[in-house]
Amino acid sequence: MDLDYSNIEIHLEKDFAWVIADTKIKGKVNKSGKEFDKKGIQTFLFRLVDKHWKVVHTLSSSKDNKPKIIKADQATPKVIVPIVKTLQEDEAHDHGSDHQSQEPNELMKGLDSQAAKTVIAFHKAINLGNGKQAREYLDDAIVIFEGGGVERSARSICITSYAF
Amino acid sequence: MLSDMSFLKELDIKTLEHQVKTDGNMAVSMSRSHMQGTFKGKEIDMKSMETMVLKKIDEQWKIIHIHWSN
Repeated sequence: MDLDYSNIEIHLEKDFAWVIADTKIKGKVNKSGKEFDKKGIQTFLFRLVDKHWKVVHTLSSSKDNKPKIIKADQATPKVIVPIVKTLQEDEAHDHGSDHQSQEPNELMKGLDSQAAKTVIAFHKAINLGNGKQAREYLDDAIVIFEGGGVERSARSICITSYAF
Repeated sequence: MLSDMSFLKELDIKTLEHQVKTDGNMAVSMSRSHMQGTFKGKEIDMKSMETMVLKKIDEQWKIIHIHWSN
């Protein structure tokens, strides 16, 4: 299997870093013999633990390198396939905030924090189609990965918000 | 984003899991959702993953990176 990374961007924030990159993956599944040739995007989140950078989360998505042509009226907004999602949190180094979650459900954690409330409010806004409200929660220089593509500004959301 | 919002408005969305980790002025949000409904006459039944990076700027949390995958 060949896996190539390009256009790697590293964003450092003291003991936290997030990295985004374009990916190309090509190979053959041993069991089925099925060949694949995909391009995509990947997000890595790092935390500095005892002077070593550790990956705490990744999300990858990809689509066929030569996608089929789909008529506009048949297309859904997103046609992408996740490769892998990992989550390896080092709780010992999670200093947290004053808002750490107390939820008993391990799948729902940290949702009482102010950061989580921002995310939940953003979800609510986009689910209601309220672009103007959603824009309030985005930094001007936001980077959005979706469907193998990228948006690098909140401006489009700001403009389109007035359509709702 | 525009197509996303038109799309999402038509669907029932259930959050399957959601974890937010805060560390100082940075936070990460990781979630999975189940989306069901009909969009432009087509039945939709899919699961979606989302990663976000947030930064506290002038005492307000702002989303600086989003990665959506389904």
